[in-house]
This record gives sequence, structure tokens and C-alpha cells, in this order.
Amino acid sequence: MELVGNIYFIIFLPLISSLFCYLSFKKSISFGIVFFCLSSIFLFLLNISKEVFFYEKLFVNPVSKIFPSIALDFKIDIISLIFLLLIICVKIICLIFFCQKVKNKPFQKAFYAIYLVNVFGLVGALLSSNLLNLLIFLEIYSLSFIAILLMIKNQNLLTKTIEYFYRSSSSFLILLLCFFVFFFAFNSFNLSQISINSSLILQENSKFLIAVFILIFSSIFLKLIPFNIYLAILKTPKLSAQYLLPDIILTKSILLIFLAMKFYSFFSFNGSFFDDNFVVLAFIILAILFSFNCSYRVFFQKKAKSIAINLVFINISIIFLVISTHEFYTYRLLLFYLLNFVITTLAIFGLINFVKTLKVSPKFINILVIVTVLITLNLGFIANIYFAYSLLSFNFKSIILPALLFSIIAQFMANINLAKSLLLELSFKKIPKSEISKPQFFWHNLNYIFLIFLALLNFIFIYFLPILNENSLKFSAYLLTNVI
Amino acid sequence: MIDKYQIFIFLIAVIPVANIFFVKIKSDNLNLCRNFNLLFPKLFCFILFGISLLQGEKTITVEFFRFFSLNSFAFSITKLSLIFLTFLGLFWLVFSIYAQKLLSILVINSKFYDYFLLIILTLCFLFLSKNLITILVFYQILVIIFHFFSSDFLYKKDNKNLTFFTLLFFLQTIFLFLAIIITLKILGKSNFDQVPSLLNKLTTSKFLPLLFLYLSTSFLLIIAPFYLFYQKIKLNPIFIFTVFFLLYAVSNCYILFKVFIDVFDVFSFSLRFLEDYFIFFEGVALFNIIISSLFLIFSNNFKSSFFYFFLQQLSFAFFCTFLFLIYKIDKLFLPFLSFSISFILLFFCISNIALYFENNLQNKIKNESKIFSLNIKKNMVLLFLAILSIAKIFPSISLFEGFFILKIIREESLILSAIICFIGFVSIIIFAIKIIYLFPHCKNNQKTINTNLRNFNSGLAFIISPLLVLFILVLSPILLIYF
Repeated sequence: MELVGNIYFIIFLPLISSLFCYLSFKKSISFGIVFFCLSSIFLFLLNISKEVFFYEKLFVNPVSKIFPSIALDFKIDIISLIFLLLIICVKIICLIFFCQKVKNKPFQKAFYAIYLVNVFGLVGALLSSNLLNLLIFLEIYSLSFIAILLMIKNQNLLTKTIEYFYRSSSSFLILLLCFFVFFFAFNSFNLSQISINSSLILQENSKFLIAVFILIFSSIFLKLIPFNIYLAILKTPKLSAQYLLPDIILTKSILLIFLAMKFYSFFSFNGSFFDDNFVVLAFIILAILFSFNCSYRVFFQKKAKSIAINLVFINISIIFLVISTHEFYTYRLLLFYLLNFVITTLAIFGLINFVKTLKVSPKFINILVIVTVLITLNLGFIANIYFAYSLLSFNFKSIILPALLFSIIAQFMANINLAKSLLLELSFKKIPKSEISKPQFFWHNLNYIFLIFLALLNFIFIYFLPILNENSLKFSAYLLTNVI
Repeated sequence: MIDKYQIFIFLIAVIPVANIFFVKIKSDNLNLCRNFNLLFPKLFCFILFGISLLQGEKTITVEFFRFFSLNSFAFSITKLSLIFLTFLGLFWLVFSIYAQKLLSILVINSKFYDYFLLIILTLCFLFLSKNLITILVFYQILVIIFHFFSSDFLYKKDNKNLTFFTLLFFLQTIFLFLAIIITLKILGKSNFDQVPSLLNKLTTSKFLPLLFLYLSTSFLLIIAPFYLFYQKIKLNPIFIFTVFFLLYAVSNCYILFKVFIDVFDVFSFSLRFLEDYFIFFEGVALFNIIISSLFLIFSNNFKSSFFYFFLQQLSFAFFCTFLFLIYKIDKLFLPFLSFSISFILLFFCISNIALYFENNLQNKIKNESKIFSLNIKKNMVLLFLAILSIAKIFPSISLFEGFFILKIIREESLILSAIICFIGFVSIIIFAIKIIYLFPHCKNNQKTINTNLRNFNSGLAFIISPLLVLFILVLSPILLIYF
């Protein structure tokens, strides 16, 4: 019962604290409330994690018997726990980054309140074990996202957000339709009930599920890859928007990966749905096309931020390649790729924002060293070796290998172009030494330490490899054996 | 527990880092910086000397961590790595002594020295790395540093060539990546000390493509920097290019030897495979040499003829390594070392002479020439020495190589390889005649110098070239002791 209470606490704490945040009479309190809420969620998740790793799956559905069970139907398992931990970490780091930029602005209270609603939507979407629940939480998340975008007050961004609103609402309708199809096919909205009923479906009736598969994936892509909005944020001159970008990109893409994994494992688990390996082959081809598109686009970028966004997409495409293989050995690498993805994107955006705030060009070519360390000595490098290693098995799955190699080259080029553009930007910032005041010089040195720490973060994680390795075994085993 | 020998490994890695750090902190005080730059390479050589005394027969290893229960990120000192480290240490020492004057003259400032130290640091790690995965990591770092290096100094505004150049580099890394993965797939491990070699596990039909992959990577690795030379690039200070070429080529040679020793297990390789198929290798080498020598004869441009000459000698060096693999396994490293040293010497000399001709045209560099005592006679003597060392005649380390090759050919009565050696010798004479013909021709017609020899324009090259003679004299007894 204690555990159930913990899960409810995690889900509803952001909602309640957002109310408090909006009603708080002092502006300075609101940041404290948000930080307290996020850190307490993180601590509670750590508290649960031992039990979750032991039991693998925990249900909280007190009213599941009622037809159609909409509310209070939750589940926590290994996958959702790991994704939640990642998302909360990202949220906390990004909050610390842009708290300075929001300070003493008129919309400060409202911003923090909506930020917490955004967290509420994310947590609900990750923990819900019911299709209708999932839809509602996704909609809460996307609406709060739009609200945050509107606060930036940029004309170009406004038009783009309205376009995004149309897209997200249309994808919502498609998802609703698909979930009703699920309801008529399996006689339930509850995911655990669906997984039980899925073995009863006839071979002849299963063909319409292909359409459902395609529709679900297309709608998820529509909803969670708003490429136009990222580009529009890049063009805004305001710094607060620039600091928001890593948060938006990371949360969106983590949610995307989570949903894709969930539905893909459901469709590819049961061979009785379709003919042999049809879904696997289709998904592999889609993933290869996606990765080729992403990595091809990188070669023509020259500005630092657009390169960084494209790098994020390359990372996502590699993760999709891993997901599409549907094997035990490759699924172990998902954890490594996810960690690498989050750390590198945070580090790269931190680097870019750091360079923009610098007023003096550094003495040494430190940035170059940092970028090299970022590229080579990370978790992604080790994972790349083992991904290629497992692909050399002479299956039809080994057609992924060229896509992987191409994306590796693209990553190299993107990293080098990024470093080059940063160095070019630094070369314009030259002030003679006598003009530098003392506090500026202090910041100059402090920033170095911060940068080196960011770069070494990837390297530090390699030392936890044995722990990661043990957990990745359980992770992949759970993914392969459980439907949704 | 940390062994007392293992501390040495950390010390080797720490010294370049300390040099960078101290120089950056005390960048205002030029004298102190100069002293630091002189101190650290000496320390490096001293520590290497200590290791070579203490080590004896056993290999020292340090393992940082394991991943996936298959591989580890580890460093070790072996005989091979010690040879390459001594080469690196001597080079660093020599360079640090002579770069002081030059860096004070040239406007390129200390940025070049930063790059140089970074390259030396990564090379240290590369030579110390125990298995192929660690080699791959440090090789990628090296490639990235070289890219920035070339973008800063070689291709300043030439973006098209630069992208092609980097793509070549990445192709190599991809080739190496694939080769390593395939070996991992076959062996199951990348730490080779406990695992039987590839040859015991494979038939020759499966084994040949892997060998081809490795050889093609090594060939690409060595040819890529030379492509840069061959293209029409303005190489303002040539010493940058020479440092680049030298260190990069040495690193690639190390990778090649590491693969031959660890993956293919040299002894069983020569016993089971090469003795039957040696004629095939001979045929390939003969074909290469004949074609390249034909190109050498009919090429009008001096630069292109130099390129074909390089290609020919490279294929000859490959052939010699195979020859030594079968018949004289103790002296396996000789051909590549002699090839690299003598070719760098030749390269320096030619670039110096090119600079001399340019000096006559431009009086601006005359001040420089006084400092380096640029003299055509000395250079010609050095050039003569270089050609002698390529032709494997006294006084050079490659004399031993030539001696052993002749001995093998006579004992085993190999006709094809005798023909190959003869053609190689003749082509060297042709090349020498071309050089002699070219320089007086240049004096009369000054415009042709600009078109032909501007790219040979040199700076520090002249300084390093006498040192390389010193290398040959100093290294030869050391190498003889090692072998």
C-alpha cells in the first residue's frame, strides 16, 4: 500500500504544486516550489526503484473493473522507471539553466505553473496503463507545450505554433480512432487486458491491424517531431528561448522513443498477428530511411545550433535502428544509447550557450579537445562497436549495417563542423587583455572548469559500466518478454 | 594494487599534459616557457630509458575497466611500443630544441606547438594501448586533431580539398572499424594474450578477405597524407607538413605491426599461409613496381614523378615485409623503419633545395636562411645520403635490410624477387638522374620553379634533416640491440 501511495504521489504532486505556484504571493517562492517538486519526485523514484527492479512490473488499478476504466489506472515497470528518471533529470538541469533568464519577468509565476503542468502530463503519459489515459495525458502535455511557446512572444514562432496545434489535434483524432479499433478488437482499453486478449485474435481478422500500425506510428511522428518549431526557436533573438530548446527537444524525443518502443514491441511480439517478420522488416526499412535522411542533412549545415539539432536527430535515428532489430543482444544497448543521447545533447547545447556568453576568446584550443573527447570517449562509441558486432550475423537484419556506418560518419562530420563554427565564433571575440576586468576573468576561468566537466561526463559514465551492464540485461529481457 | 612499473605508464602520459598545462599558465614569461619546452622532452626520454632498463622480458599492463565481459580499456608496455616510444621521444627532443628559434621568427605563433603537443600526447596513448579497441579510440582522436591541424595550416581557404581529405580519413576509420569488428566476431575477444590467433580458427578462403581489409586500411592510412602532398596546395611553411607526415605515418606503421603480431600471429602466418602463396605476393609487387616505374619515366612534372616514386617504394617496402615475414622473422620491423626514415630525409632535402631556389627569388627570407645556414652544397650532400639510404647502400640503417634481402634471395634462389629488386634499383637511379637534370634546368628558367617547386617550399625542414642523419646514426645500434 505504501508503494501505491508513492506512485500516486509522483503523479499528482506536480499538478498540486503548479496550483500552489500560481497562487503564491511572492515571485521568488515559485522557483523554490518547482525545484522542490521535481527533486522530491526524483527521490521518490529512487526509493521505488529497488522494488521495481525486483518485481519488474507493478499495477495500480483500484477501479479497473468499471467499464471503460478511464481514471486512476497506472502501472510502473523497468522501462517507464528509467525513462522517468531520465526526463526528471533533464527537467531539473534545464530548470537550473534558465532560471536566471526568467528572473524578474512579468510572466514568471505563470511560466513555472505551466512548466509543472508539462511535467504532470509527461509523468502521466509514462505511467498510464490505459489507452484513454495515455491520450489524455499526451494532450495535456502538448497543450502545456504550446502554452510555453506562446510565452516567448515572437511573431514567427506564433504562426508555427498554430500550425503545430492543428497537427497535434489531427494526430490526437487519429490516435483516438486507433484506440477505439483496439477496443473493438481486444475488448478493453486496459493494456494488460489487451496483452492477455491478443493471443485470442484470429489470423484472418488481424490484417486490419497493419493499417492501425501505420496510422499509430505516423500520428506519433506528427505529434512528437515538430522540426519547424525547433527551427523557429533558433531564429528568435531572445536568450530564454535558446535555453528552452534542449529541454523541449530532449523531452519530446524521449517520449517519442518511449511510445515507439511500446507499440513496436506490442506489434512485433506476436508472430500470429502478421506473416513472419513482416512488421520487423517494415520497421527496419522505415528506420533506415529515417537515419539516411537525418545523416544526409547534416553535411550541409554550417551554423552551430542547426548542426546540434541534426545531431540530436541522428542519435534518435540510431536508437530507432536498435529498436527495429528486436533482439536480446541489441536491446541491451538501448540503455547505453539513451544515456549517451541525453548527455551529449545537454553537453553540446551547454557548450553552444557558453560560447555565446563568452566575451573573450580563450587562450588555448580547449574547445577542440573537448569536442574530441565528446565524440570518441563516450558510451555511444562502445555501443556502436557492439551494435555492429551483433549485426554481422548474416540475417536480413544486417542491412542495417551500412545505415549505421553512414550515420557514424555523419556524426563525425557534424561534430567537426560544430567545433569549427564555434571556433569561428570565438575568433571574432578578441579584446586586449588590459580591458578585461577581474570578475570577467574569474568567470572566464570558471567556465573552463564547467566545460571540461560537461565533456568528461560521458567519460565518467563509462566507469559505471558494470552496473549499467547488469541493468541492461534485465531491461532487454523485460522488453522482449512483455507485451506493452 | 598498482605495481611500481605501472606508475611509469602514468608518468609517460602525464609529461605531455604537464607541458601543455605549465606553458599555458606561464604564457607571459617567454623564457620560462622555453625552459619548460626543453625540460619535458628530456624527462620523457629519461623515463623511457628507465623503463627499458627495468622492464626486461615481461610486459607491463594496466587495465582500467571491462565492458560486456568481452573487452577492456587497457594499456601496456611491450617491446614494440618501447621502440616506437623511443622514436617519438627522440623526435620530440630534437624538435623542441630547434623549434624555439623558428617559432620566434615565424608568425604562426604558439598555436602550432599546441597542436604538436596534442599529437604527441595522443600518440603516446596510441603506442601504449593494449588492444585494438583502445587503438581505435585514440586513432579517432588523432584523426580529429589532424583535421583541425590541416584546416588551420594547410587548407586555409580551400574547403573543397579539406572535405575530401577528411572524408578519406573517415573512410580509413570506417575500414578499421569493420576490420576490428570482424576479428572480434571470429575471435570473441580483443585482448589477444589469452586467445589463439586467427589462423587456428579459420580456413584460408575465409581468412583472405580479412587480410585484404587490413592491408587496404594500412595502405589507405599511409597514402592519405601523401595525397595532400600531391594535390596543388600552398604549403607555406613545409615543416608543418613534415611533422604531420612523419607522426601520422609512424602511428599507422604501429597499427599495422600490432595487427600482424596480435591478430595474425606472425609465426603461424608465415608457416601456414605465406609459403604457399608467396608467388602471388611477388606477382602483385612486380606488377605494381613495373607500372609505377613506367609512370615515373614518362611523367614530366617533378611533383608527380616524386609521387610515383613514393608509391613504388611503398609497394617495395610491403613486399620486403612479406619477405622478412617468411624467411627472417627476427628483423620484421627493419623495412618499414628504414623506408620511413630515408623517405622523410629525402623529402626534407628536396623541400630545402626548393626553398633555396625560392630564396634567390625573394630576398625576404634571406634573414631566415642566415639563421638556418641554408646552403645548397650541404643540402646536396644530404640528398645524396638520402638516395643512398633508399638504395640501401652504406652509410645507413637500410644497409642491413639490403644485406638480408640479398642473402635471402641467394639462399632461396627467388628469381621474381630478384627482378623486383633490380627494377627498384634502376628506378632509383632514374629518379636521381631526374633530380640532377631538374635543378640546373630550374636555374636557367626561373618561371618553371614557381610552377613546379613552389609546393616544396620549406621552413623547418632543413633543420630536421641533419637531425635525421643523426637519427640514423644513433638509432641503428639501438635497433640492432632490440632485434
